[in-house]
Order: sequence, then structure tokens, then C-alpha cells
Amino acid sequence: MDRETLNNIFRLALKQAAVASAAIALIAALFLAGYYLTGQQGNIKDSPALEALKAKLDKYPDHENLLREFREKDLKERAAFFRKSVILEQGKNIFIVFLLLALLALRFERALTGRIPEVKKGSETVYRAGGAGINNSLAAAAVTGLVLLGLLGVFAVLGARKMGFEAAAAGNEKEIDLSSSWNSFRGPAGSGLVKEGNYAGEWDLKTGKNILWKTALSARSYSSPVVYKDNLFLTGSEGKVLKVLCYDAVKGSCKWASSVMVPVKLEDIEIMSEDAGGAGYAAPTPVTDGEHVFALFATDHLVCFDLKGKQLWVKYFGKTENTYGLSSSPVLWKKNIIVQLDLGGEGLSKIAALDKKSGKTVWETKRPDGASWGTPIIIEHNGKNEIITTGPEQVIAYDPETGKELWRVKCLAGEISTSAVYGGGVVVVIDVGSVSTVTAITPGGFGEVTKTKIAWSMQEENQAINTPVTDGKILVVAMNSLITGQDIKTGKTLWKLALEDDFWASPSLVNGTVYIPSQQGKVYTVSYGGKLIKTMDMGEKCSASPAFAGGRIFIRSEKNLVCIGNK
Amino acid sequence: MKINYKRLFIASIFLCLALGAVFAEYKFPPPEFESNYSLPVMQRPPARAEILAYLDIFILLAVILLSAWASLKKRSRNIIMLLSLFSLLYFGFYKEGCICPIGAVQDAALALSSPGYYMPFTAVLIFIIPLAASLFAGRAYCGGACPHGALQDLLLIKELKIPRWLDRSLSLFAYIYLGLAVLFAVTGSTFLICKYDPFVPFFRLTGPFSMLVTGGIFLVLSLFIGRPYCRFICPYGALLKPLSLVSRNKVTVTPDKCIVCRLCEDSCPFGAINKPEKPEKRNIKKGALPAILFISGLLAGVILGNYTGAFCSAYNKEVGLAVEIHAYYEEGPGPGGISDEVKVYLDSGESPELLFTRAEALKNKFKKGGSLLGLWIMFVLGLQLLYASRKPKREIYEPDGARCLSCGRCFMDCPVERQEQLKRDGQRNVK
Repeated sequence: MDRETLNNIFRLALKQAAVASAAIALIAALFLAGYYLTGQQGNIKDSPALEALKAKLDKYPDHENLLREFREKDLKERAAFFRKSVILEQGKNIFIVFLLLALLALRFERALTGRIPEVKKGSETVYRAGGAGINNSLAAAAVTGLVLLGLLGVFAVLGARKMGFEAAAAGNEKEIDLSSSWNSFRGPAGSGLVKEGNYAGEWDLKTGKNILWKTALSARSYSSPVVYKDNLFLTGSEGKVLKVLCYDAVKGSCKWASSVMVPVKLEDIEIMSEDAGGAGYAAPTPVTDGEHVFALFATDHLVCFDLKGKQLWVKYFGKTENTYGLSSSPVLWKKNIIVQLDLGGEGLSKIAALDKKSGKTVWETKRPDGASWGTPIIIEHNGKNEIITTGPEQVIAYDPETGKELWRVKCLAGEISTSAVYGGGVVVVIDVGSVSTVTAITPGGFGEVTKTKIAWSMQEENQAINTPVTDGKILVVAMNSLITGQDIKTGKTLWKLALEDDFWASPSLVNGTVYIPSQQGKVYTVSYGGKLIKTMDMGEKCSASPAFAGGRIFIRSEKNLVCIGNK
Repeated sequence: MKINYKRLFIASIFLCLALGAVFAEYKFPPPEFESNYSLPVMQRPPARAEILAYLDIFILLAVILLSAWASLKKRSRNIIMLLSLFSLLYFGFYKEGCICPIGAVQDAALALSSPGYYMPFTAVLIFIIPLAASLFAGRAYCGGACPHGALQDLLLIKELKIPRWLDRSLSLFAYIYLGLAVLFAVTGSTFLICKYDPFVPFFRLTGPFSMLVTGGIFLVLSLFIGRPYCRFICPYGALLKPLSLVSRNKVTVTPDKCIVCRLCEDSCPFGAINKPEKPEKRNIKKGALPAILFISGLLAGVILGNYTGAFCSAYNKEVGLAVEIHAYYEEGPGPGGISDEVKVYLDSGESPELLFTRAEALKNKFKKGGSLLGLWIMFVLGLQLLYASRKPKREIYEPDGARCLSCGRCFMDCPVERQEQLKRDGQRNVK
């Protein structure tokens, strides 16, 4: 068979294929149009029948037959809608595929028909008209330029008009009031102290007493919830996927769950998991300023989301050698976010302030080598603001504006997981070991002030790994199987309450009552005088500190988030 | 019976457009469960496995190299067509047109301007590889590896010639579109190129109505005009043009000396073959006027662009919401009630001043970006005027360094090429 015959056969086949495909596409299109216009429809959104039934149901909510009729109708409408959707989807696919096939077959048929061009008459070189041609192009470019300028002018006139909101926005840099929210680890001042609000003193998960809602959590971590208005923020990890989640604080439904996008391979970063005894990927508690939520992860990433779950920026601080994984939470200071990164290893540890809008470093100060897990607090003492940090061997204070070190006290031993607490004019810190040393320090001064600034210290043969709470009069320390109350001025033990339990979460002092979740899945309430008031069973370990906002208590247990309030 | 199947096809395409409503999203409330059933949280689909993402890069690189080899060395239109077909199937229908270098322009712009936007390394490679290739092999990517180009190229049935002056003027819009796409990307507003991509709905067999309409229009245009999107709209093409202009290797019509037979004159459907030119001597008065006009144009671009940026900001969701919320507080709900967005915002309990402040900041960002956009438009226009007024001396037919899409159509029209082909065939037969 010669080439031309073969060519003809191909052309014929392509032509037939084009016609056949076009016919199928046309039939599909006609069927789709017909079915779309006449086919059975499912109308759930605006169905008058359903609306009428719903109105009747609102009037007679206990009418069983009416309810059944409504459900049947609703199901029927939904089934019809999805049936129609499937048919339209398949018909549409057939239509598009065969339309493209028809066009392509026709295109190839044309390609095979292509003839070899012949030399034109007068085959001498014909130059492109230099003068006239260039003038045409120039004129066209000039006209295009004028058209573009005109268009820019029209849009500029339209754009020059005010949109209305400008005046309302001008100069509006006022700070958001966070006093009624629980925006960071242990509340706005990191104190765990609640002075007002009506909070439930008892609840029961089994009977539902005072349980407003309970939601199962897919993301795991030891971090605590934070609350701003109706938004509750959590961090967690699903494997190595880092997550920031937002729940409706009123209803308990998940508003958004965003995976953190990071510029490094998370597969290459190994963090000791919770099961292996580590802090996991997401132990630091997030912080919100009412416009953004900031979350730090053990992978050394600080990430900023807006309140709709959109990631705005991410900052990577470099490799970590923190054995158990970072758990220090970020804190908010004016326009900055402050992070304490005691990363272990040599020369890795630092404290830094980042601009909350851009994520750019405002200041950064090196810290002593070694790892620690406490969260810094920012206090105001004698009219001066200080960042108080706990870490390897010492407590160090910094100026929050510049990051410059102010003073240090060498009074800590062991692996420090506790944060400082401030009240009654002293900063109280606890070291971690089989014997806990509680030390009260009077803030202020410069350089090493170990010998001059320790107000008092006491020891207890027990281990505390959480942070105490104080109202400026009494200091409550929750240790392994023991809760104590100390006079904050003198350190004198006022009361002791022995409990066969262990506490990783920090205690909170709510209108004079201590709330403390435990490792055995209980929440204890203890009176100001050291008496056990109630024990509530949460059913599973509670390692996160609770949040208190708007009369609701939010407790994160191992796999659930529970909201408690007076019903 | 003789069927006029061309009309049939065109009628089918318009029917396709008419059926656009089929693609519209239909949203309705979920069932009201009485049990404790909780609706699952919407999860994002997992990203493409990393190994597959790198495989895509490898395939892209291989196709570009093959396309460059086919257009520069082998000089085979058939190989380029086969590569196009493969790219259409793989990058188009299998990969559903995403991520492609055209859209990656926006990722790159946003990643460079926003510290929070993370552009995967594979996306960076997808953006850079065709650009780098154009420095050595011209627009080999456009020739064989771009599914958008392939679809248009394969649909060209009856070519209509576009006058050179119109072609050159329309091609300016690609630069404007590039500027607008970057402006909307860096302000975090939207990915304009992806939103109005005309071919992705066909690759995915689904898409919103707006995309389908633009797709339908470009499909119809592609039947008669060679690659209309590539020539007049494609923002990535706008980046490739200047790079391929300085490409180390360029496509030639003839494998040997051009005999100026004029056979290739009409072979290029993209108007990319430059004819011989013998400019007449012109007496142009030298002076500072062109420079003054150029600088004035740039300044006008900056000023007008600033306000144009403010106009564009209205298309940002946050700014749009601020306008709506402000109107709501000033005038109350309109006759049609309040929109869902306003309702959701009011429910959030956020102070509107915060929204207005954010919107104002965004508007200012748009204004600054608009100034740069205006500057960019005027700069490109100035270059176009300069290009149009130059006086090249050319004795042979040769592809335009910037506009040639490396499709290889002109090869087969060249008698020198055909002679070479016959020689090669003869040698093969002797062997």
C-alpha cells in the first residue's frame, strides 16, 4: 500500500471519527439540555413544600406524622437532587470529551490534507515596506498607548472616589480589649487568676450536668485552649502535620482547621512524641491579639494566622536540640510576640521579639545554653515592665522593649518546666526535682542579684512540674500527690492537701476557688482554706491548663474538648 | 447528504456555553440531624506526594528538552505535535492543568512579597525551568510542553490572518495582564490567572460558569486564530518573550541558506515570521522630545496607576466587605436585605473599625502596587513604540526571536528543508 492510499484511509477514518464524535457530543448536549429543563428536580433550599411543612412543624413540634412526612419529603428531594447531579455530571463529561475528540480528529484530518506550497509568481524578494509598514506599527502602538492612558485615566477617576470606610479607619490604631478574654497560656497575664465571672463549681460528664458541649479532637497535643470572644483556638498535630484549629466557643463546632505550611521538610525534624515521654509537636499554647492567632511548634516554627484561618506568616528559628520538645508558649507584648527558645545544644538558646504583623525580628538576645520548658511572663513592678524567664539554673529578667538583660538570680536546679508567677510584689519560681524548692524573688536591679533579691525560699519533698498560682496573698502549689497553700509574703505553709494524683496542668484560682485538672482524669476544686470541695471525673488524662472566659470553663482532655457552664 | 460539520461543531460549542449553568455550584443546608451526629470538618485534600511532584518536574524537563531538540536539531513538526499531544494529556487532562508555570507567576510574586506564603520547591522549579530553557532554546516550552498552547494549536482549523500592527498591539495586553495578576497576588486578593484560566475547566471537566465562558470563547477563537491566549493574554509568555529574544539558539525556517523563495511567508499562523526588510532612509530629527515624552509617560503611569490601584482594591474581598459594612452602618440594610458575608461578619462580633483599618491598609497597598503597575504599563508601551520605530535590515525570512512559538510549521514549507529531508530519506533507503 503506497503512502497516499494510507494517507487517504487515515483521512477518511479521521473524518468519520470527527462526524461520529460530533454527533455523540450533540446528542449528549441535547439530552443534557432536555434533562436540565424537564428532568426531575430536587429542591432543598427553596422547596415551597418543605417550607410549608417546616412552618407546620414549628407550630406543632410534637406531631409525629408531620415530622415523618417532613423527613420523607426532605429525603426524597435530596435523593432527586443527587440523582440529577450524577446524570448531569456524566452527561457533561461525555459532551466535553466527545466535543474535544471531534475537534482534534478534524484538526488531524486537516493536517493530513495539507498541501505543499508552490513558489508564488514573481518570486523575487519582496521586502516588507519599510516606511509605510513601520508607520502602521508606530501608529498602532501610539493609538494603543492613548487607549491605555485613557483607560488608566477612567479607572483613576473611579479610584479617586472615597469608598466610605476611610474616615472610620483613619488613625484607628487602638488596642483591642483582651481583659475579658483568655488569650494566652494561663490567661492575659499568664497568672491563672480569675477575679470575676460566674463559673460552674461542679459538673458531671455522665449526666450532662453543666456540660454545655463536648467535642472530640483529632489533633493531639498538651497545649491549652485560648479564647477570644466566640473563638477558641487550639494547636495540635496529626502525625507530623502541624495544626491550628478554631472552635466556636458557644456551640463547640469547628470553625476551621488549618495545616501549617512551613518552608522546611517536617519529615526531617524528629520530635519526641507524647507516647515516648516527650512534649510532642504542639505543646506550646497559642496566643491571640483579637486579630491574629500565633502558634509556636516544637519544630521551631512560629506561625501567624488571621481569625479566619489564613496563614499570614511563618518564622523558622533553626534546628532544635531540645530533648523533649519545646513547650514554652509565645506571649503578647504590645505590637510584638515574644518567644523563649531554650533549644538545648550550644549557642542555640535565645529569647526574641517579633513584629506581630510581619513576623520580622524586632530584637533577639542570646540565653544560657541548655533546654527548658517554661513560658515567660511579663510583669509590671514599680512602674517598670520586665520579662521574667525561667531556665537552666537561673531566672533572668529582660526589658520587653529592647530585649536587654536586666537581672538574674541563680536559684533553679533540674529540668525547668515551670513558669514564674508574680503577685504580692514578688516573683515566685519552682525548680524541678525530687525535692521542689520554691523561691520568691523581689524584681528589679541589674546584673546577678542572687544574694540580694531572694525574699524567701522553702522546700517540699515532692515534685512540681507545673506553675503555681497566686492572688497576691496566698500561693497555691500543685505537686505530685500534694497541694499546698503558702503565705506569699513569708513562704509560710498555711495548709496542705494530700491527693493520690499527679498534676501536669497548672492550677487556676477562680474567685477564691482553686481548679486543678489531673493526670487521673479528674478536676479538683479546692477552697481558699485548703479544703477539697468537689472532684469531677473527666474520663481521661487532663494535661492542659483550663481556660476561663465569659462564664465558661474550657478543658482540653486527652481526646476531647469540653465546655462547662452553669445551665 | 453532505454534512457541514464545521457548523455542527461551532453550534455544539455554543450549546456547551448555554449549558454553563449545569456547572454552577448548588449549595443547600445540611440535613437537620436529631441524633448526636456531628458533621465532619471540611478537610483539605492532601498534597501530591513529593516523589510524584519531582516526577512531574522530570517529565516537564524531559518534554522541554525534547521539544528544543525537535525544533532546533531534528526540525520535526511531527515530533513537536506528538509532544504537544502528550503534554495536553499529561499536564492538561491528567494533572488538570495545575500547577503550571503560568499560574506559578503568582505564587512567585506572593512568595517574594509575603513572609507567610510558602512556595514549595517543586513549584519554584516549575516556574524557573521554562524561563531558564528559553535562554538556551527559545520558547521550547510553548512549542511542546504547554497544555494550554497544545489545546489551542491542535484546534486551529481555519486560520484567519491578523494584520501585523493589530497583532503587535494586542500582544501588549499580556504585559498588562501580568502586571494585574502580580498586583492581585501580592495583595493577597486572588490568583487572577487561575481564576480566569480559560482551559482548566476543560482539563478538569468542571469549573465555574465564568471560567467556562472564557474557555468557550477561547476555544472558538482557537479554531480561527492561531493560539490567541498565548499571543495576546498569556502572562508567562510575556516573561518568555524577552528571554527568548536573547536565546543562545534560535529556531530557523531553513536548515541552510535561505533562498528567499517566499514559500514560508504564510506558513506561520502566529505572525511570527519576519519578512526581509529594506528600510528607506528617513530623516529623523534628533532631540530630547522622545525622552521627555517617555519620562512624562512614566510619570503619568505612576500617578494614574495609583488611583487605578485604589479602584482595583474594591475587588479585594476584605475591602469589598468594609464597603458593605460601612454602608450597612451608615444607611442600614438595603432593599434586598444584607448579604451572607455581612451577616457572617456581624455575627463574628469584631469591631468594624478593625475591618476598616485592615481595608485601608489593603487599599494603600493596592495604591502603591497600582503606581508600579502604571509605571510598568507605560514602560512596556515605550518599548513597544521603540520596537515599532526601529529600522532593521533583513535579507531573509526568519522567525521573530520573541514571538516564535517553536511549533515547527514553517519547516515543511521550506524547499531547502524538503531537499534535506529527501537526502536523508535517500540515505536511509540506501542503508
